[in-house]
Amino acid sequence: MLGIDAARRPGRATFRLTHPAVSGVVRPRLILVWLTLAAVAFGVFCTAIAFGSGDFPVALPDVVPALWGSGDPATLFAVRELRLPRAMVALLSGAAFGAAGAVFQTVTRNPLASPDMLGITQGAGAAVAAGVAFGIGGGLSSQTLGLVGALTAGVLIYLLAWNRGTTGYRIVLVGIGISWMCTSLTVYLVSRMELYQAQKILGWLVGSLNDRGWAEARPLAFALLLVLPILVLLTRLQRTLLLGDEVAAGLGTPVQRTRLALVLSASALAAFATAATGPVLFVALASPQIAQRLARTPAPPLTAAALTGAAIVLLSDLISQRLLSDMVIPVGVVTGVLGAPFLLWQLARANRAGSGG
Amino acid sequence: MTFLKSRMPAPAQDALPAPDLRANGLKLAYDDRVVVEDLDLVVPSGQISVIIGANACGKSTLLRALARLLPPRSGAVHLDGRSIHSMPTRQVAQRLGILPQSPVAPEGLTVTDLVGQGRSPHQTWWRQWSSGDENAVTEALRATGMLEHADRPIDELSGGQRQRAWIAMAVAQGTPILLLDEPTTFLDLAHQIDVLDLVVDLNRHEGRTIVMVLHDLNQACRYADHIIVMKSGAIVTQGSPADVIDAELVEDVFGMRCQVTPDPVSGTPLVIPIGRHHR
Repeated sequence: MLGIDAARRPGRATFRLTHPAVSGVVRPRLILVWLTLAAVAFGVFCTAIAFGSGDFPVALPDVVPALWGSGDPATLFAVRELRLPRAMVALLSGAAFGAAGAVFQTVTRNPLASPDMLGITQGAGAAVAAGVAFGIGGGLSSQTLGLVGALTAGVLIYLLAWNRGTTGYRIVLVGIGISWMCTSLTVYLVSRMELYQAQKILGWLVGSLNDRGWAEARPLAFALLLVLPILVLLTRLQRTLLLGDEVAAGLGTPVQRTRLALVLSASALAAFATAATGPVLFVALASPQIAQRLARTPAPPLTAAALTGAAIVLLSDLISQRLLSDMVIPVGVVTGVLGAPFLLWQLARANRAGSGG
Repeated sequence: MTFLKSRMPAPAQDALPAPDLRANGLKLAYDDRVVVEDLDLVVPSGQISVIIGANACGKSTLLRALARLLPPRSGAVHLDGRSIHSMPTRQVAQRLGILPQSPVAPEGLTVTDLVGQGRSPHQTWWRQWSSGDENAVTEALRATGMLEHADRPIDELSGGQRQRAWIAMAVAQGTPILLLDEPTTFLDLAHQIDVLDLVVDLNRHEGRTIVMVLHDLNQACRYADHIIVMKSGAIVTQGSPADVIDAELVEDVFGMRCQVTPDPVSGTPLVIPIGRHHR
């Protein structure tokens, strides 16, 4: 079938099996980007384990065998008990933020739309602040409160944006409104708090991986395993949404149901990630844009965005632990300082190439 | 600017029965504003129908309702005897294609990728590029003269090429009915004729039923087999342009004095406005 000219388009190759009748379009560049990003993320993952916090030295070549359970007991303990859980939280939260951002940006057709611009992150912050201020749900951890707050914000955005169906721009506008409401609420609550309470909440609000472990990694891994396959299955319908609601509907896409599924899925991912780490800003906004420019696709690519997010958070956490010898900087500070210049550099380069932002 | 007419594809829907699209007692409204009330219409199968009327007369609204993009307040649109709003949207998309007015493609999307989206209603997540999809896309690119631009991003194309790429997407959808909302908007005159000639090709060579909204009366008269004249949400009259269009009707519908003479090229009615400074 490769004799037909449409099959020989640069940048796309087709595959077609007869038994079973499976066919599709593959983009070699996108696959190359996946492999590269996966390799980078894995490299940073191992480096973070080798050089992570704590004084016990682990040689980089010993990391992979230790992950599989071979090595001396001290190395095994340092790798699997001390550093692996934290690295897993970094990897999983980065992937969740990246994927959530890619979905929000595609659904709204707006590169500025991400869970940390649309109030989902801020919803988590307000809930955690309320928990600290009023001691509500005394037994509830900030993880649970954050999850509930973020999910509530996600559902609220969708409901308030509804007016005989939702549109991308209404989701953005309502989301920004929710974001400011939650931010104001948080600031008000913090201003009424005792100093020790305020310190606690401010520590959470910058986003940090300190003292995070399996208790945070497990629910997040579960959420990713559940939601990512849904998002992959929705990719085909999501592509038509990029052409506008009316064209998508004309092509047989159930526009409202698809958008609802996408918004809820992405909100859940962002909520679980925020619950695990606090608001690690900028990752969800920048990862999809970085991935899109690497892969040169017309919309943010889901898998590549998740891998980019994972690499960014892992790298940022490593830097936050090792940059200053006497203190650990919260990872959320590093993601902003590191991610922003990279995105700006990419934008500048794209403009020079004449392909615009 | 000319198309490869000699290589028009064979009808894609040989096996399918002729489409039957009709509206019964249609009431259409946006919020509280009723735009169309109690409208009946039978779309002539295998012909080019053109809806004309003054701004805000409800012609685009009617087209959107025929394409199930706007649910009616009462009444129904029937496709092949079934109410279009009770059919699965994917099933409708296999029988009826719609190209809205001035659609926008994301930056960097290539012509092939756009036209490939036209195959969406025929695909499943495990079968995303069958040989049928491949052939339909190639034929659509050829029929619209876009084969040579297949790899270019949409945003790099001229307005006329861009519109042809969108029409190619609708052609690749392979539906017996094609609805077009002002397909010539924002095009210069040569490209307008270019697009309309393409529409005639799709009708004559492939037997597709076409319904389109046009602003230009003379183009409507020349390209329509069946013209539907609307005024304030109702159909005033319909039929072949030669039977329907005269000076009296144009003055009534558009509030404009004119003379109507035969078009020296096509023989169809030619509407010549008079204006305030002539008599």
